[in-house]
Amino acid sequence: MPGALPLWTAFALQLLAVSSLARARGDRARLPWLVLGLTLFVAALALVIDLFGTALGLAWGLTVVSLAGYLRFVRPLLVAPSIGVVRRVERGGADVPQAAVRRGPVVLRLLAAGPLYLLAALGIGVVLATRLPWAEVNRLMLGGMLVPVLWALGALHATADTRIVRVLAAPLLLALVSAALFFVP
Amino acid sequence: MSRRADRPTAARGNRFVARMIESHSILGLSFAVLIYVVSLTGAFTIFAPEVALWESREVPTAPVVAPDQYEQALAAALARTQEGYEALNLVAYGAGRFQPALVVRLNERTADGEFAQTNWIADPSSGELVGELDSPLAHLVEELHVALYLPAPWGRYLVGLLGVCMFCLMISGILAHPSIFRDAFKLRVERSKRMAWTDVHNRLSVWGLPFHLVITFTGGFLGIAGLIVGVLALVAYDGDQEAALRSINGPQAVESRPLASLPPVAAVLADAAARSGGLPLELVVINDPDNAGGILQVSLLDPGILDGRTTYIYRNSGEFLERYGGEGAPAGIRALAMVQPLHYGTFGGYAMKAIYFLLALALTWMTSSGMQIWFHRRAQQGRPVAGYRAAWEGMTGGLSIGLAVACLLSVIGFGNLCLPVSLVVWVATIGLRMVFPSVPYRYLAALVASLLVLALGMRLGSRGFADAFQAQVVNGILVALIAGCAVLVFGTRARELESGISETRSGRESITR
Repeated sequence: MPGALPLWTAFALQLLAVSSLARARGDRARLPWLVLGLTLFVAALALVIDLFGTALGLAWGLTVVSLAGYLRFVRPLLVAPSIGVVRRVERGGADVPQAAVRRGPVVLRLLAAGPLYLLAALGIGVVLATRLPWAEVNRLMLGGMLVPVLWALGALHATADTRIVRVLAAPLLLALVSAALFFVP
Repeated sequence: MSRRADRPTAARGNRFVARMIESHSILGLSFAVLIYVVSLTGAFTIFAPEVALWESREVPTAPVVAPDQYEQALAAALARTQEGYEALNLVAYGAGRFQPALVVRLNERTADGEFAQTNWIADPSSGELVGELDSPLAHLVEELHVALYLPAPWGRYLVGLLGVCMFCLMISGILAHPSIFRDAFKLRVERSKRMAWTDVHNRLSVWGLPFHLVITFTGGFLGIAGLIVGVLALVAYDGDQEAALRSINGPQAVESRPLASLPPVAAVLADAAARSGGLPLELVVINDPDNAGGILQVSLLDPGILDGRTTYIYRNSGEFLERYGGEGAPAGIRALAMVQPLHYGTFGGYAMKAIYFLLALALTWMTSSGMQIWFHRRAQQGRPVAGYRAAWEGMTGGLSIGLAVACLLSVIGFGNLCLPVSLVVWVATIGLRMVFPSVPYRYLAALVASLLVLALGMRLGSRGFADAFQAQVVNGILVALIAGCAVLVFGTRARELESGISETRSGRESITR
C-alpha cells in the first residue's frame, strides 16, 4: 500500500502521544509530558496530511487516533477478573450530581426533541439554503447539512431544560421565525 | 470569601452537568435498543459488498472489466424488461477493490405503478448475464442497518432520527463530563460495578469521539437526506423536485428522440477514461434508457481524495455534458460527496475498513455499557430492573444468534429463510432470557460461535463459492468473531458474566426480603 511506512510512523507517533499523555496524568511534572503528548499528536496529524492532503489526511489521522487510545485499555480489560465488583451496601450514587427535577412527562420532551425540533431545524436549514449570499449549490449544501446538527442541538435542549413550557415553545418559535425570515422579501 | 463565591458557581456547574446527564439518560434509554441494532449491523454493513460475494455461488470475478462487457451486460439487463413494465434506470457496479464482480441492476415500474428491482451477476469476460444476484445475508444486514427493515421512506427516516439522537448523545456526553481530559485514562475495574462500567463507557466514548461524531452526523444526514431534499424542493423550488435535484446533482433528463437500443456505453466509458486520465470505473447509471435526452452517469474512483469519486455526465445519445465532483468542484458538492466515504470507511482501502469495523463494534459496546450503568445504578439504589436487564441481554444475544443463523442459512442454500428465521430466533431468545435469566450469558456466546463455525466450515467445504481475496476477508472476519466469542466463553470475562447473573438474582431477592 502506498504510504504504508509514513502511516505506520504516524500511528507510532500517536501511540507515543497517548503514552505521554498518560504520564502527564500520573506524574508530578505534568506539563512537559502534556506538551510532548500534544506535540506528538500534531506531528502525527501533520505527517498524514502531508501524505494524503488535508481532507483525507484529517480523516485518517482522526480515525486512527481512536485505535491508539483504545489499545491502551485492551490489556486491563482482558486481564481483569471482572468489570467492577458487586457492592452489597446500597448507595445513592453520591458522586453523581443530583438529577435535575423533571418537570413535565418524558413523552412531551420526546415530542419536542423529535418532530418539533425537526420542524425548527428544517426551517432554519431552508433559510440558510435560500438566503446565504453564496453560490447556489454551496448554500444548499450548508443549509441541508446543518439540519441534523440543529436537530441534535434542539433535542439536547428539549431533554435538558427543566421548564416544559420553554421546551415546547422554543422549537415552535424558531420555526415561526424561520418562516417569517423566509417569506420576508 | 473565595469559597463562598465559589459555591454558587459550583452549584450552577453541578446543575448543568445534572441536566446533561438527564438529557443523556432520556435519549439513551429511550432509543438504546434501536441504536444497538443499527450500530451492530452497521459494523457488518461495512463489508456488505464482500459478504454479497462470499455468499453467492458461481460468481465469476475479475479485477477489471472492459467497456464492451459493460455495454453487453447492460444491454442484456435492458432486454429483460418485463412486458408492460417501464425501465426506469440501469446500473452497472464496476468490478473494484471491494467486489471484483460485474453486477448489473434494472429498476422498473410495474404496470400497477409499483417499483421493482432485479440484480444480476454478469460474466466479466463476455458481459453475459450468469444469473440473479442472490445475497440474502448481505441484504438482511444492510436493510436492518439503513432502514430497520421498515417500509421506505419511514425506515430510513427513523434510522436518520437515530443518527441525530446519537449525535445529541455525544454532545450531552461531552458536556456531562467536565473532567473529560483529567479522566482520560481512568479505568477503575476494581471499584463498584456502576463506577467500573461508567469508566468503560466514558473511555470508549471519549477516545472514539472523532469517529463517533462523524458516523452519527453522516448517518443522520444520510437517513433524512430525502426529507431535506423534499422540503427544500417544496419550499425553495415551489415543489419542483427536478429543479432541486438539478442544483445538487447536475443535469437532469430532457424529452428527446426515443432510443431503440442501449445508449453507446462502451464509447462513453472510453471517453470518460480518457478525460480522467485512466481512473478506474466505479459505477455506470443510465436513467430513462429509452430516451436520448436521458442522463448517463459514469462515476470513476479517485482514491487520492476523500470524496473518492469523479462523475462524468452524458446524454444517452452519447453527448458529453459536464464533469461533476472531484478536484475543482464547488465546496458544497465535494462536501456532499464526502458523506458516504466517511460513513462507510471506504476512503482508505481494507486498512481503514478494518479500523472502522473495530470502532463500530466499540460503538456497539458503548451502547451496551451505557445500559450496564443504568442496570447497576438501579441495583445499587435498591431498585433493580431485573426484567429489563434480562430483556436487554436477550435482545443483544438474540440479535447475534439471529444473524449467525442467517449466515448459516445463506451458506446452505436457504437464503429465503434468513429474515423470518432470524427474526423468530431473535424474539424467542428475548422471551427465553426473560424466563430463564440465570442461564449464563456465555452459553449465548457459545451458540453464536458454534453457528459461525458451522457456517464457515460448510462454506469452506462446499463447491461453487468464490475464492477471491474479498471473500477470504469475510472468512477472516468470521474467524475473528469466533475468537471473540471464545474469549467470552472461556476467558476471565466468563466469571464476570456469571456473577452478573447472580447479582440480578440477589437484586431480585433483596426486593422480596
